[in-house]
Amino acid sequence: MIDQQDQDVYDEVGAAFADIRLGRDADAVIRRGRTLRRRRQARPALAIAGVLAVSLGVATMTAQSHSSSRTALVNVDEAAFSVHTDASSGVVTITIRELADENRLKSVLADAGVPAVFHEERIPEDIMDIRFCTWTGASVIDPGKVLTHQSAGADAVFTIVPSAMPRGSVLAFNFATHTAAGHVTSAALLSNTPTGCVD
Amino acid sequence: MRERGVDHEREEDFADFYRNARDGCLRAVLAACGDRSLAEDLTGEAFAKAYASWHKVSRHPAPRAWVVRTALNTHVSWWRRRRREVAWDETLDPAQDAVPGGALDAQVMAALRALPRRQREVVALRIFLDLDTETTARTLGIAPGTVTAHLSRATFALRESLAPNREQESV
Repeated sequence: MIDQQDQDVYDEVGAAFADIRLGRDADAVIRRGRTLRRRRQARPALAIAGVLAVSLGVATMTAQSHSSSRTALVNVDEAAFSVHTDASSGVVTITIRELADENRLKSVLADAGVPAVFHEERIPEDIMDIRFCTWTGASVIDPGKVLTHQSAGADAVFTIVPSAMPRGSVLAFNFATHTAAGHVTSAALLSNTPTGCVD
Repeated sequence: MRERGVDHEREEDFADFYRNARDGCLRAVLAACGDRSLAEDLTGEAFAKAYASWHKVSRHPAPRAWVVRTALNTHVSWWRRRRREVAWDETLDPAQDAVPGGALDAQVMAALRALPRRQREVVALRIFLDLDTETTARTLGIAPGTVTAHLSRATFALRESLAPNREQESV
Protein backbone atom coordinates (compact mmCIF):
# COMPACT_ATOMS: atom_id res chain seq x y z
CA MET A 1 0.00 0.00 0.00
CA ILE A 2 1.54 3.25 -1.11
CA ASP A 3 0.99 6.37 0.92
CA GLN A 4 -0.73 9.11 -1.11
CA GLN A 5 2.03 11.57 -0.23
CA ASP A 6 4.62 9.13 -1.55
CA GLN A 7 2.59 8.63 -4.72
CA ASP A 8 2.46 12.40 -5.20
CA VAL A 9 6.26 12.52 -5.07
CA TYR A 10 6.52 9.69 -7.61
CA ASP A 11 4.01 11.42 -9.88
CA GLU A 12 5.93 14.67 -9.69
CA VAL A 13 9.23 12.98 -10.58
CA GLY A 14 7.54 10.94 -13.32
CA ALA A 15 5.93 14.04 -14.81
CA ALA A 16 9.34 15.73 -15.06
CA PHE A 17 10.45 12.94 -17.43
CA ALA A 18 7.29 12.89 -19.56
CA ASP A 19 9.02 14.44 -22.57
CA ILE A 20 12.01 12.09 -22.46
CA ARG A 21 11.80 9.69 -25.38
CA LEU A 22 14.26 7.33 -27.00
CA GLY A 23 14.42 8.37 -30.63
CA ARG A 24 16.35 5.41 -32.07
CA ASP A 25 14.30 3.23 -34.36
CA ALA A 26 13.98 -0.48 -33.82
CA ASP A 27 15.93 -1.33 -37.00
CA ALA A 28 19.08 0.38 -35.72
CA VAL A 29 18.85 -1.47 -32.42
CA ILE A 30 18.26 -4.79 -34.17
CA ARG A 31 21.29 -4.21 -36.44
CA ARG A 32 23.46 -3.60 -33.40
CA GLY A 33 21.93 -6.66 -31.70
CA ARG A 34 22.85 -8.83 -34.69
CA THR A 35 26.45 -7.67 -34.44
CA LEU A 36 26.55 -8.47 -30.73
CA ARG A 37 25.09 -11.90 -31.38
CA ARG A 38 27.67 -12.71 -34.08
CA ARG A 39 30.42 -11.49 -31.77
CA ARG A 40 29.21 -13.72 -28.97
CA GLN A 41 29.01 -16.72 -31.27
CA ALA A 42 32.56 -16.11 -32.49
CA ARG A 43 34.10 -15.82 -29.03
CA PRO A 44 34.39 -19.49 -28.03
CA ALA A 45 36.45 -20.33 -31.13
CA LEU A 46 38.65 -17.30 -30.61
CA ALA A 47 39.15 -18.03 -26.93
CA ILE A 48 40.17 -21.60 -27.70
CA ALA A 49 42.64 -20.37 -30.27
CA GLY A 50 44.10 -17.91 -27.77
CA VAL A 51 44.53 -20.49 -25.06
CA LEU A 52 46.02 -22.99 -27.49
CA ALA A 53 48.68 -20.56 -28.54
CA VAL A 54 49.84 -20.28 -24.96
CA SER A 55 49.46 -23.90 -23.92
CA LEU A 56 50.62 -25.69 -27.07
CA GLY A 57 54.23 -25.17 -26.16
CA VAL A 58 56.13 -28.15 -27.57
CA ALA A 59 59.06 -28.95 -25.38
CA THR A 60 61.68 -29.16 -28.08
CA MET A 61 64.39 -27.42 -26.16
CA THR A 62 65.75 -27.62 -22.69
CA ALA A 63 64.87 -24.44 -20.92
CA GLN A 64 68.03 -23.04 -19.45
CA SER A 65 67.40 -20.05 -17.28
CA HIS A 66 69.42 -16.95 -17.60
CA SER A 67 69.43 -13.89 -15.46
CA SER A 68 69.08 -10.70 -17.33
CA SER A 69 71.55 -8.06 -16.29
CA ARG A 70 69.65 -5.28 -18.03
CA THR A 71 66.25 -5.88 -16.38
CA ALA A 72 64.70 -2.78 -14.87
CA LEU A 73 61.63 -2.28 -12.75
CA VAL A 74 59.00 -1.04 -15.13
CA ASN A 75 55.65 0.50 -14.22
CA VAL A 76 53.99 1.86 -17.32
CA ASP A 77 50.28 2.47 -17.81
CA GLU A 78 49.12 3.61 -21.20
CA ALA A 79 45.70 3.52 -22.83
CA ALA A 80 46.72 0.61 -25.07
CA PHE A 81 48.72 -1.43 -22.57
CA SER A 82 50.18 -1.69 -19.07
CA VAL A 83 53.49 -3.26 -18.04
CA HIS A 84 54.36 -3.70 -14.38
CA THR A 85 57.30 -5.40 -12.69
CA ASP A 86 56.73 -6.83 -9.25
CA ALA A 87 59.67 -5.49 -7.27
CA SER A 88 59.96 -8.50 -4.97
CA SER A 89 59.47 -11.37 -7.42
CA GLY A 90 60.64 -9.76 -10.67
CA VAL A 91 57.49 -11.05 -12.37
CA VAL A 92 56.30 -8.81 -15.21
CA THR A 93 52.57 -8.43 -15.81
CA ILE A 94 51.52 -7.27 -19.26
CA THR A 95 47.98 -6.13 -20.02
CA ILE A 96 47.25 -5.51 -23.68
CA ARG A 97 44.10 -3.65 -24.64
CA GLU A 98 45.08 -2.83 -28.21
CA LEU A 99 48.23 -2.87 -30.28
CA ALA A 100 48.33 0.82 -31.06
CA ASP A 101 52.11 1.28 -31.08
CA GLU A 102 54.04 -1.96 -31.44
CA ASN A 103 57.46 -0.30 -31.17
CA ARG A 104 56.53 1.49 -27.96
CA LEU A 105 55.33 -1.74 -26.32
CA LYS A 106 58.41 -3.57 -27.58
CA SER A 107 60.66 -0.91 -26.06
CA VAL A 108 58.89 -0.98 -22.68
CA LEU A 109 59.07 -4.78 -22.59
CA ALA A 110 62.78 -4.68 -23.45
CA ASP A 111 63.29 -2.35 -20.48
CA ALA A 112 61.50 -4.93 -18.33
CA GLY A 113 63.88 -7.64 -19.58
CA VAL A 114 61.39 -9.25 -21.96
CA PRO A 115 62.56 -9.42 -25.58
CA ALA A 116 59.42 -9.60 -27.73
CA VAL A 117 58.20 -9.76 -31.30
CA PHE A 118 54.73 -9.02 -32.61
CA HIS A 119 52.52 -10.12 -35.43
CA GLU A 120 49.24 -8.42 -36.21
CA GLU A 121 46.51 -9.59 -38.51
CA ARG A 122 42.94 -8.74 -39.35
CA ILE A 123 40.49 -11.63 -39.57
CA PRO A 124 37.39 -11.33 -41.74
CA GLU A 125 34.05 -11.44 -39.96
CA ASP A 126 32.89 -14.58 -41.77
CA ILE A 127 35.80 -16.66 -40.44
CA MET A 128 34.85 -18.14 -37.11
CA ASP A 129 37.45 -20.88 -36.71
CA ILE A 130 40.50 -18.76 -35.99
CA ARG A 131 43.98 -20.21 -36.37
CA PHE A 132 46.93 -18.02 -35.58
CA CYS A 133 49.85 -17.91 -37.97
CA THR A 134 52.88 -20.16 -37.42
CA TRP A 135 56.16 -18.59 -36.43
CA THR A 136 59.05 -19.51 -38.74
CA GLY A 137 62.81 -19.64 -38.12
CA ALA A 138 62.35 -20.45 -34.42
CA SER A 139 61.06 -23.29 -32.26
CA VAL A 140 58.25 -23.05 -29.77
CA ILE A 141 59.48 -23.77 -26.25
CA ASP A 142 57.41 -25.18 -23.42
CA PRO A 143 56.50 -21.97 -21.59
CA GLY A 144 56.68 -23.74 -18.23
CA LYS A 145 56.77 -21.12 -15.54
CA VAL A 146 57.99 -18.41 -17.91
CA LEU A 147 54.63 -17.47 -19.33
CA THR A 148 51.08 -17.67 -18.04
CA HIS A 149 47.93 -16.21 -19.46
CA GLN A 150 44.81 -15.04 -17.75
CA SER A 151 41.60 -13.49 -18.90
CA ALA A 152 40.44 -10.11 -17.61
CA GLY A 153 37.31 -9.18 -19.51
CA ALA A 154 38.27 -7.91 -22.95
CA ASP A 155 41.91 -7.43 -21.95
CA ALA A 156 44.72 -9.92 -22.51
CA VAL A 157 46.85 -10.33 -19.40
CA PHE A 158 50.15 -12.23 -19.41
CA THR A 159 52.61 -12.80 -16.61
CA ILE A 160 56.25 -13.33 -17.51
CA VAL A 161 59.24 -14.39 -15.43
CA PRO A 162 62.11 -12.77 -17.35
CA SER A 163 64.79 -14.47 -15.28
CA ALA A 164 63.41 -17.88 -16.31
CA MET A 165 63.55 -17.16 -20.05
CA PRO A 166 66.17 -19.32 -21.79
CA ARG A 167 69.07 -17.39 -23.25
CA GLY A 168 68.25 -15.94 -26.67
CA SER A 169 64.53 -16.72 -26.35
CA VAL A 170 61.82 -14.20 -27.17
CA LEU A 171 58.15 -13.82 -26.44
CA ALA A 172 56.07 -13.80 -29.59
CA PHE A 173 52.75 -12.00 -29.42
CA ASN A 174 50.10 -12.59 -32.01
CA PHE A 175 47.49 -9.88 -32.13
CA ALA A 176 44.38 -10.67 -34.13
CA THR A 177 41.54 -8.26 -34.76
CA HIS A 178 38.29 -9.94 -35.68
CA THR A 179 35.76 -7.57 -37.16
CA ALA A 180 32.97 -9.09 -35.06
CA ALA A 181 34.72 -10.39 -31.97
CA GLY A 182 37.25 -7.62 -31.38
CA HIS A 183 40.84 -8.21 -30.28
CA VAL A 184 42.39 -11.55 -29.40
CA THR A 185 45.99 -11.76 -28.26
CA SER A 186 48.10 -14.88 -27.86
CA ALA A 187 51.68 -15.32 -26.75
CA ALA A 188 54.27 -18.06 -27.21
CA LEU A 189 57.83 -18.55 -26.02
CA LEU A 190 60.23 -18.99 -28.95
CA SER A 191 63.83 -20.26 -28.97
CA ASN A 192 65.06 -17.19 -30.80
CA THR A 193 63.84 -14.27 -32.88
CA PRO A 194 61.64 -15.70 -35.65
CA THR A 195 62.01 -14.84 -39.31
CA GLY A 196 58.27 -14.44 -39.82
CA CYS A 197 54.80 -15.78 -39.19
CA VAL A 198 52.91 -17.59 -41.93
CA ASP A 199 49.37 -18.94 -42.27
CA MET B 1 13.15 -20.18 -45.88
CA ARG B 2 11.82 -21.46 -42.60
CA GLU B 3 14.73 -19.81 -40.78
CA ARG B 4 14.00 -16.49 -42.43
CA GLY B 5 10.39 -16.73 -41.25
CA VAL B 6 11.51 -17.43 -37.68
CA ASP B 7 13.94 -14.49 -37.80
CA HIS B 8 11.23 -12.19 -39.11
CA GLU B 9 8.86 -13.26 -36.36
CA ARG B 10 11.56 -12.75 -33.77
CA GLU B 11 12.30 -9.27 -35.10
CA GLU B 12 8.64 -8.29 -35.08
CA ASP B 13 8.25 -9.57 -31.55
CA PHE B 14 11.31 -7.66 -30.39
CA ALA B 15 10.31 -4.49 -32.26
CA ASP B 16 6.92 -4.49 -30.49
CA PHE B 17 8.61 -4.86 -27.13
CA TYR B 18 11.12 -2.13 -27.99
CA ARG B 19 8.47 0.38 -29.08
CA ASN B 20 6.44 -0.19 -25.90
CA ALA B 21 9.33 -0.28 -23.45
CA ARG B 22 11.97 2.12 -24.76
CA ASP B 23 10.75 5.38 -23.20
CA GLY B 24 10.15 3.94 -19.75
CA CYS B 25 13.53 2.20 -19.77
CA LEU B 26 15.30 5.37 -20.94
CA ARG B 27 13.64 7.41 -18.19
CA ALA B 28 14.65 4.88 -15.53
CA VAL B 29 18.25 4.80 -16.78
CA LEU B 30 18.36 8.60 -17.02
CA ALA B 31 17.01 8.97 -13.49
CA ALA B 32 19.69 6.56 -12.28
CA CYS B 33 22.69 7.89 -14.20
CA GLY B 34 21.76 11.57 -14.57
CA ASP B 35 23.13 12.14 -18.06
CA ARG B 36 20.79 12.26 -21.07
CA SER B 37 23.17 11.27 -23.84
CA LEU B 38 24.86 8.59 -21.72
CA ALA B 39 21.42 7.23 -20.79
CA GLU B 40 20.45 7.02 -24.47
CA ASP B 41 23.66 5.15 -25.33
CA LEU B 42 23.30 2.77 -22.38
CA THR B 43 19.63 2.08 -23.07
CA GLY B 44 20.20 1.59 -26.81
CA GLU B 45 23.05 -0.83 -26.11
CA ALA B 46 20.99 -2.70 -23.51
CA PHE B 47 18.13 -3.15 -26.00
CA ALA B 48 20.64 -4.40 -28.59
CA LYS B 49 21.88 -6.94 -26.04
CA ALA B 50 18.25 -7.87 -25.39
CA TYR B 51 17.80 -8.54 -29.11
CA ALA B 52 21.01 -10.59 -29.21
CA SER B 53 19.59 -12.75 -26.39
CA TRP B 54 15.92 -12.36 -27.28
CA HIS B 55 15.26 -16.09 -26.97
CA LYS B 56 16.10 -15.76 -23.27
CA VAL B 57 14.96 -12.18 -22.56
CA SER B 58 11.52 -12.66 -24.14
CA ARG B 59 10.83 -15.33 -21.50
CA HIS B 60 12.15 -13.23 -18.64
CA PRO B 61 9.47 -12.40 -16.06
CA ALA B 62 10.33 -8.68 -16.29
CA PRO B 63 12.09 -7.95 -19.60
CA ARG B 64 12.01 -4.16 -19.05
CA ALA B 65 13.81 -4.65 -15.75
CA TRP B 66 16.34 -6.86 -17.59
CA VAL B 67 17.04 -4.00 -20.02
CA VAL B 68 17.44 -1.40 -17.26
CA ARG B 69 19.65 -3.67 -15.19
CA THR B 70 21.80 -4.40 -18.24
CA ALA B 71 22.08 -0.67 -18.99
CA LEU B 72 23.11 0.08 -15.41
CA ASN B 73 25.64 -2.78 -15.41
CA THR B 74 27.05 -1.46 -18.68
CA HIS B 75 27.31 1.94 -17.03
CA VAL B 76 29.40 0.49 -14.22
CA SER B 77 31.55 -1.40 -16.74
CA TRP B 78 32.15 1.70 -18.89
CA TRP B 79 32.90 3.73 -15.81
CA ARG B 80 35.40 1.16 -14.54
CA ARG B 81 37.09 1.13 -17.93
CA ARG B 82 37.33 4.90 -17.88
CA ARG B 83 38.56 4.77 -14.29
CA ARG B 84 41.55 2.69 -15.41
CA GLU B 85 42.51 5.30 -17.93
CA VAL B 86 42.08 8.52 -16.02
CA ALA B 87 42.90 9.70 -12.54
CA TRP B 88 40.15 8.56 -10.24
CA ASP B 89 38.71 10.53 -7.39
CA GLU B 90 36.90 8.22 -4.96
CA THR B 91 34.34 10.90 -4.22
CA LEU B 92 33.45 11.30 -7.85
CA ASP B 93 30.13 9.85 -8.90
CA PRO B 94 29.29 9.89 -12.61
CA ALA B 95 25.91 11.44 -11.90
CA GLN B 96 27.43 14.36 -10.05
CA ASP B 97 29.31 15.83 -12.99
CA ALA B 98 26.70 14.95 -15.59
CA VAL B 99 24.76 17.54 -17.47
CA PRO B 100 21.07 16.78 -17.62
CA GLY B 101 19.63 17.05 -21.09
CA GLY B 102 16.38 18.15 -22.61
CA ALA B 103 13.81 20.17 -20.76
CA LEU B 104 14.06 18.27 -17.51
CA ASP B 105 12.94 20.02 -14.38
CA ALA B 106 16.21 21.18 -12.81
CA GLN B 107 14.92 20.81 -9.29
CA VAL B 108 13.75 17.25 -9.84
CA MET B 109 17.08 16.32 -11.40
CA ALA B 110 18.97 17.99 -8.55
CA ALA B 111 16.84 16.07 -6.05
CA LEU B 112 17.56 12.78 -7.81
CA ARG B 113 21.26 13.50 -8.13
CA ALA B 114 21.48 14.24 -4.42
CA LEU B 115 20.45 10.63 -3.68
CA PRO B 116 23.05 7.88 -3.27
CA ARG B 117 23.35 5.70 -6.40
CA ARG B 118 21.46 2.69 -5.05
CA GLN B 119 18.56 4.85 -3.82
CA ARG B 120 18.37 6.47 -7.26
CA GLU B 121 18.20 3.05 -8.91
CA VAL B 122 15.49 1.79 -6.58
CA VAL B 123 13.33 4.88 -7.00
CA ALA B 124 13.86 4.85 -10.80
CA LEU B 125 12.64 1.25 -11.05
CA ARG B 126 9.66 2.04 -8.83
CA ILE B 127 8.57 5.17 -10.68
CA PHE B 128 9.32 4.35 -14.31
CA LEU B 129 8.86 0.59 -14.47
CA ASP B 130 6.38 0.28 -11.60
CA LEU B 131 8.26 -2.70 -10.23
CA ASP B 132 7.25 -4.22 -6.94
CA THR B 133 9.71 -4.76 -4.12
CA GLU B 134 10.47 -8.40 -4.98
CA THR B 135 11.18 -7.72 -8.64
CA THR B 136 13.27 -4.66 -7.81
CA ALA B 137 15.28 -6.75 -5.37
CA ARG B 138 15.91 -9.46 -7.99
CA THR B 139 16.76 -6.86 -10.62
CA LEU B 140 19.36 -5.12 -8.47
CA GLY B 141 20.59 -8.25 -6.72
CA ILE B 142 19.80 -7.00 -3.24
CA ALA B 143 17.48 -8.11 -0.44
CA PRO B 144 13.81 -7.04 -0.49
CA GLY B 145 14.29 -5.42 2.93
CA THR B 146 17.13 -3.34 1.50
CA VAL B 147 14.87 -2.21 -1.34
CA THR B 148 12.22 -1.12 1.14
CA ALA B 149 14.77 0.79 3.20
CA HIS B 150 16.30 2.50 0.12
CA LEU B 151 12.89 3.40 -1.26
CA SER B 152 11.73 4.81 2.05
CA ARG B 153 14.85 6.97 2.46
CA ALA B 154 14.77 8.08 -1.18
CA THR B 155 11.10 9.00 -1.02
CA PHE B 156 11.62 10.99 2.17
CA ALA B 157 14.60 12.83 0.68
CA LEU B 158 12.73 13.58 -2.56
CA ARG B 159 9.71 14.85 -0.65
CA GLU B 160 11.94 17.19 1.35
CA SER B 161 13.80 18.40 -1.74
CA LEU B 162 10.68 18.96 -3.79
CA ALA B 163 8.59 20.56 -1.04
CA PRO B 164 9.41 24.12 -2.16
CA ASN B 165 8.09 23.18 -5.63
CA ARG B 166 4.73 22.19 -4.26
CA GLU B 167 4.50 25.18 -1.93
CA GLN B 168 5.20 27.47 -4.87
CA GLU B 169 2.53 25.75 -6.99
CA SER B 170 -0.08 26.07 -4.26
CA VAL B 171 0.42 29.88 -3.90
